[in-house]
Amino acid sequence: MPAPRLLLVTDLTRTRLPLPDLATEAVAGGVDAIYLRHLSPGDDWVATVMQIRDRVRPEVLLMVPGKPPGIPRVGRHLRERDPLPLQLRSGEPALVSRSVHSPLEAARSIEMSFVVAGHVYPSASKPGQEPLGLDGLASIVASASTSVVAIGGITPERVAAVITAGAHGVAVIGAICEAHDPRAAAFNLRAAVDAALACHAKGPAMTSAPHSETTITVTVNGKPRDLPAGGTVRDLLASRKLADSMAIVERNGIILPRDAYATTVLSTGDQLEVVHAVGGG
Amino acid sequence: MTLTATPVETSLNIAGREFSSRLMLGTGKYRTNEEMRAALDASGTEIVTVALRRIDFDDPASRSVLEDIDTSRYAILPNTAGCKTAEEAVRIARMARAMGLGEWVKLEVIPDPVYLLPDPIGTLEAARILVKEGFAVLPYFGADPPLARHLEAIGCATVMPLGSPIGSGQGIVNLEAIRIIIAQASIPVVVDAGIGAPSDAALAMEQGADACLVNSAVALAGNPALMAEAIAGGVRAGRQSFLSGRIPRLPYASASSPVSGVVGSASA
Repeated sequence: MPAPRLLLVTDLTRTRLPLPDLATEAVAGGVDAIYLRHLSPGDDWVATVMQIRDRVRPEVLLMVPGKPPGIPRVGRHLRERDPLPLQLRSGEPALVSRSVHSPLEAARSIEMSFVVAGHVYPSASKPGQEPLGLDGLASIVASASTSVVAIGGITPERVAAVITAGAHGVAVIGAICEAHDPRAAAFNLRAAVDAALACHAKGPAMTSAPHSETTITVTVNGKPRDLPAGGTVRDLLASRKLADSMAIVERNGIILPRDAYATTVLSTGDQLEVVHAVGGG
Repeated sequence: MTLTATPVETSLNIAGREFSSRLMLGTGKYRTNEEMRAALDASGTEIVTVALRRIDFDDPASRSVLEDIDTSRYAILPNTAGCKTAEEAVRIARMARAMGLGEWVKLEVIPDPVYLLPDPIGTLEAARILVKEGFAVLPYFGADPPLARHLEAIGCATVMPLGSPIGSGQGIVNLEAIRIIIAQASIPVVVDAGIGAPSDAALAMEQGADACLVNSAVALAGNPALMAEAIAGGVRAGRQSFLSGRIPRLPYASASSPVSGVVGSASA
């Protein structure tokens, strides 16, 4: 089942950008799923959803609220109080996600692609309500029958703790919607998630598979290349004495800012394009 | 006494930057880096183009052309050469911006490997996206006046019609179309590609083109630095001719010497 590492939940009241532009910027920064939450049916919202779908990479998960929208390649997201579907449609793989706030509801969310669990930290979206905290999140992860995406007050600094608690990924609203530069905000969050996942993979949980600790295999300019686990983009460049060069790095379709080379930890399967300027007319 | 109003020389202004040289040079095809540097220097150019390519991780000798170019002296204009679709060109432009050398891009969307003629639809599509993303877009396109107007209308920084196919050295084969583009444009018109000799550059500039971009004619000349200087001279001569206001073409002669008082003629 596909599940996101960085889910953007949109809130049209908290962004200055038109929704398609916000979506494009967020995806450029590393968002791999978007829950298009505040679209009011009746407007030309189907057209907006399709416009966003056509502007982002096909592997980006797009979710809309409630009933099956009937838009190809767009999934639906259920609130905890929405009735659980008795049976997910068979045939084409259904993309359905659900918000949960307790271990019980997480356990009931069978056949879901992922659940969104929150709010982990105090959140502007849930004023006055008691947050789950990391322990609450960990209990949900323990009970859940699918991947758990953590939401509520997530910042790049908090990502590592959330991933360590067992989250598959994180979800944010204001952190991207309200950012002056949504792309940069998404980038910083995604970098934190990837770094936490890489760190987690190296941790004690993986001692049963020691061979995976020492070496990873990434694809660099179309060719496989083995690197020491935990290596960063800067390490990769340094292996070719390119650390101080004007090399540009695109990782999994996302162009990295130069100052992120040293902090971006590579993982097995990463697709890297490393380019530089050559003579041309 | 009447004075004929002729334009006065101003600097070339592209996307808010001023240049005194009206010759842009490419950096491809030079036999050596030394020849390239000498040619750039001799040309007086202030804008040089570069391409983006994968780094060869298996070849320790492969290096960036920017290691051989003084980026404080020349404005770097990255191109999207090699891109066949709008999507590819947008991706490469974004990578080029990540070099941190500015927001300029020479947009090339070229699916045709034989004549290297740009795809007008893909070019317009990519230009629209890149302008929206804040790039200064300098689009390379076949000299089609309506397309030039579209490119200007969507916010391109210049238009760059081609004189003839890239590297062909055929000169300006579509002068009338370029003349119309110049007459209609209110952004700089840069004639790019096909220029083989100083006279080609001069011809383009005489029509009122704002600048020329040259690569092969310099890089592959027997003496690139000398040819760079010669083409810079052609550009300057053509520009001065345009500013001076050339005489009209007449279908008959108009004697330069007095027609009266010719020795032996019958007095009136």
